[in-house]
Amino acid sequence: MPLSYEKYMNLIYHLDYSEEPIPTEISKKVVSNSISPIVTVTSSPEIDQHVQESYGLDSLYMLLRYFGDCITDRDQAEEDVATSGRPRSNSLFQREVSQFIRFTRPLPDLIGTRDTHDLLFDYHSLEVFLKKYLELVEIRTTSDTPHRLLRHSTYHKFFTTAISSTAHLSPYESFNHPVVSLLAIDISKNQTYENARDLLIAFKNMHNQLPNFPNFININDILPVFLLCYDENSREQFETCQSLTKMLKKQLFVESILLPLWNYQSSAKKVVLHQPIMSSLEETMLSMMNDTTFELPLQLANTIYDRVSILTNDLMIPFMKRKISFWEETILQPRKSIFQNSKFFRRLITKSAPSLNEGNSITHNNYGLAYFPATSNEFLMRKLADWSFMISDFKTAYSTYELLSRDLDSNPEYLAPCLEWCALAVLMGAQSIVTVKMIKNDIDPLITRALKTYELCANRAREKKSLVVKTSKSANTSPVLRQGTEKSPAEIIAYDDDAQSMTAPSQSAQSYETRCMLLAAELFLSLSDTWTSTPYAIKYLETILDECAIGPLSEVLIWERLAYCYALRIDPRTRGRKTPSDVISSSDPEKTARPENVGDVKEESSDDDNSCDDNYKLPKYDVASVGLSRRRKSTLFELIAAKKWSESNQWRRSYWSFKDVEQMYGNLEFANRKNLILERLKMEIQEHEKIHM
Amino acid sequence: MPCYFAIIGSRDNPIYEAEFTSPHLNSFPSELKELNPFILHASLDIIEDLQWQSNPQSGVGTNTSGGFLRSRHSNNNDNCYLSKIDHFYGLAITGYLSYGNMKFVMIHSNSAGNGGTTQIDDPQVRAFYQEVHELYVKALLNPFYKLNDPITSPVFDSKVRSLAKKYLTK
Amino acid sequence: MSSGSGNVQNGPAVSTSSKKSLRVFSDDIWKNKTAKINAELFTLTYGSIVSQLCTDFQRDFNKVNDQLFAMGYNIGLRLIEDFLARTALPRCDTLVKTSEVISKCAFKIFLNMTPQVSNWSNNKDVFSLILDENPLSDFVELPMDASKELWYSNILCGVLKGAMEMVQLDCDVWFVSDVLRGDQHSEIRVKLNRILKDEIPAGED
Repeated sequence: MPLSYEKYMNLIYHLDYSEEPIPTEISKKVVSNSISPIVTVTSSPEIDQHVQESYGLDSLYMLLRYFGDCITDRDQAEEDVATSGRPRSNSLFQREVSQFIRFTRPLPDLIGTRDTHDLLFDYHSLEVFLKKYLELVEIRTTSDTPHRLLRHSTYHKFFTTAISSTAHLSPYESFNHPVVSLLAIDISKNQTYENARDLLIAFKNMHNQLPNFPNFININDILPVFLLCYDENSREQFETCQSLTKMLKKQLFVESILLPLWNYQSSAKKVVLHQPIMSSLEETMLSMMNDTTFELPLQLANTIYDRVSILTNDLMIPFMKRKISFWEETILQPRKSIFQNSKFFRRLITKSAPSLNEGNSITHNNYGLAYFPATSNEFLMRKLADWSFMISDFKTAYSTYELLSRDLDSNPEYLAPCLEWCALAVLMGAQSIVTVKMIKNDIDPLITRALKTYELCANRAREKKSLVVKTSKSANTSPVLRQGTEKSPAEIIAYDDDAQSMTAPSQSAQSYETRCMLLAAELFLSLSDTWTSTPYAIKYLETILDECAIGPLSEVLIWERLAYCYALRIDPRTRGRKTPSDVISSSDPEKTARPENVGDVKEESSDDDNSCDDNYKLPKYDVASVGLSRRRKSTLFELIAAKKWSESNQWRRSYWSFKDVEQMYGNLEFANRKNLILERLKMEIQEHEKIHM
Repeated sequence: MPCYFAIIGSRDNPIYEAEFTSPHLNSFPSELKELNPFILHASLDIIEDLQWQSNPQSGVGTNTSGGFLRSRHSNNNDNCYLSKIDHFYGLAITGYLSYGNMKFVMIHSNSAGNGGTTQIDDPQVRAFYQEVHELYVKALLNPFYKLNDPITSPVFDSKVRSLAKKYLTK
Repeated sequence: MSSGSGNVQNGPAVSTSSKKSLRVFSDDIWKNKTAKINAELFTLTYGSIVSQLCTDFQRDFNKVNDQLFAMGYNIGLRLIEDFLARTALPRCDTLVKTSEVISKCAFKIFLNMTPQVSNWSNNKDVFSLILDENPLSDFVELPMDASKELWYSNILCGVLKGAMEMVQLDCDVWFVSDVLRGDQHSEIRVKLNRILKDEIPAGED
């Protein structure tokens, strides 16, 4: 069975695959997954308790979250897949389908937990997560475990955790905003139409009932779907469900999905669930801390996948497409008209009616930060672009981001992610070919501008904070200050806020800046002409190391990634040829004489006898490939990673890096001198890993 | 500023290495000391890349005249000097390529020891390289010296060091 | 390379007693009658021979010295012929005169250098040639193991020995110091043992 996306991401639980090559297009898959549509799961206490009794999971959400991610892979139900020969995500023809979704908790939970913090990730918990994860790696492997693929998997684990969150609602982009809301009722517990209606009413009135419901979320843009759970063996319940479905459709205009969730025979074949890939940091941490695993009947797992794909393909995607075309007609088309598109006319219009557009659309939250509400044209355009991105229509996404970015000059908080995703849309495939020229003139400037804008946001947030401190110290001068700084609505300050809470926005902008660079770097690596694209990836990763606040373990992962970037940097023309360093590392017969390949060495050394006379000459190798790879660079960064791992007491990782470094340095005399780092590392690793090298 | 200089042979083997410090300057911290050779080794990738380009652009503010493949019309050996070829977290790396493919490379650290980027005084560094190149050619003419072997001569060493004093660690 | 037996029949009337004119005379030959080669090529050629000898004799430098001497001796045997043909110098009366011809004429013509003659013994049968420069050993640095034993330019001693033997001067020639070994200057010692009489072919003079 080929290595699936999910197995790769959870490679630590599937170590038998660890010698496979890196899956193709993995970067794009990870990015697609990380911004895949969100489905919230709302369930009644009855159903949650029923789930708890039957399967030992806390709630229906806790059960369904295992079935997100790459739903076409059906990874939780693997045995069945093997027999049915279902096409996997690695195959070509599924690329255009949105195959990823993410499940999350109900919206009120999300709003309740994180409304004040605008931080995408905080690097402390990221660091704790990494530490836990690496512990897990250490437990599950030996020093001889093949480590290459595992290392990539670990980086992508870090990557997804850093760039994606299912629990964090940003006012500036809609990727993590729910698209579908599942409302679940339990037929077997005699829940009826009334329960369903109540759930729907509660859902629809959420924005009135929750005190701090953010106005950048529009309930009407979330598709409610009922999930009717019934007993598999009960004909009667099934019929109830069917009639209820009709009734719900007729009276509440809401579709339903039937899920036979209960009463599987205990003797049925079971599958052990593995962790979902995209999950909020907190949930991932939690599930890693308690080591319990959950089992579901195989049949149920397959049924759930069936239902989920019905939900996705028959309900969610059509819903998104409907919305997209509606927004296109109502917002995008007028925008594209000659008046709106020409700068000259637009200036005329805004001069004549300056307050109409901007005055209406911006509102402020209770921290005084300016937000576009969900119904504003700006946010709807953003959503249009985001959703196009989610269903892999990168062309539309790109053009919409591009159009939108012209309107957002005075709102850097919005402009920055808009520019970012504009660039990412190109990298994801808005154009069929990404040329050097496009990178140079288009993508890189966009990202650079996005980063600058993020920085501007961070600075503004910081200024505001200091302003608040100042004004609170001298209340008298505040009117003057206020007048002086009232350039845009975003700068209005809620004076009664304490200064502490104002630190969040600046850090938030920074965390998004980091995400932007991580994403861009990763996608640049996915381009086929790595010779031209890797320098950009390297540039962004190095900037992260230089400027961004990340923890030491994250840093080492990035160092390792840099090594990988350099290793990828090979001119396509010379790919497959021997590089000088290859020749160097294989030409010294004395050093290559390792016990496992004595036979080879003998042959080699006889070859070398002929070339011994050439010792004074320059070595013969394929001259065409000189200078067209970055092996030495790569090895240096790997070496540094090995060193940093050892500094963080991650000896297993350090050893793995060391093993890779050895291939280059093993035959270079200078590298193995006693007073240099390689020798010191060797000693230390030997001591800690209890191996002889 | 402390410098770490090396001449690298055709098999990535250092044939001469020296660290230039002066009493009133910091020397390299120990963690850099054990890493320096590796940093230089890595920058060879860049040299090899630049060496076949007709117009190397890597050097910041480079004023080399054309690439290493010199044009028919210029006959000075300025183009051996590749200026700044690489950087590594505040350290600058300069390179010089002899016509026999010996790579002269040097790590420059700024005087502060760490942090900011290091500025390269190109004319001075170029002069240093050129004179070392001359010394190297002389060393090469020594019948007892084998190409690609380490240069162990104390005379060579002391001459290089005095050049360093003259041009680099003032 | 001293002058010896030749008659003054067809040579120019050179007063060998005059230092100045000897110098002018040699300069002229050097400038006009000598085919020249690139100094580096010459130096490298000699250097590679020495270096190769060191390898061939497994770095037994005494053997290398002997070998160089032998090679020089063979050169000297022939070179004197060329020297005399070129200069047509008359026979020297004394070793003092011989030393002058060696220094100012022979070294000048073949190596374009003029070693100083000094350190005469009391009975004027031993003298030294002090080499201020030595085109043979340009660029050379002796390896550590060789610096105590190897006389790098030992070929010169062989040449002197061979050449002088051809003009009936039986000499010992050896290096006493060499800048390559870290000495102040390079010094070749020449000791006249005897003048060979009986080897003049009959009827020659």
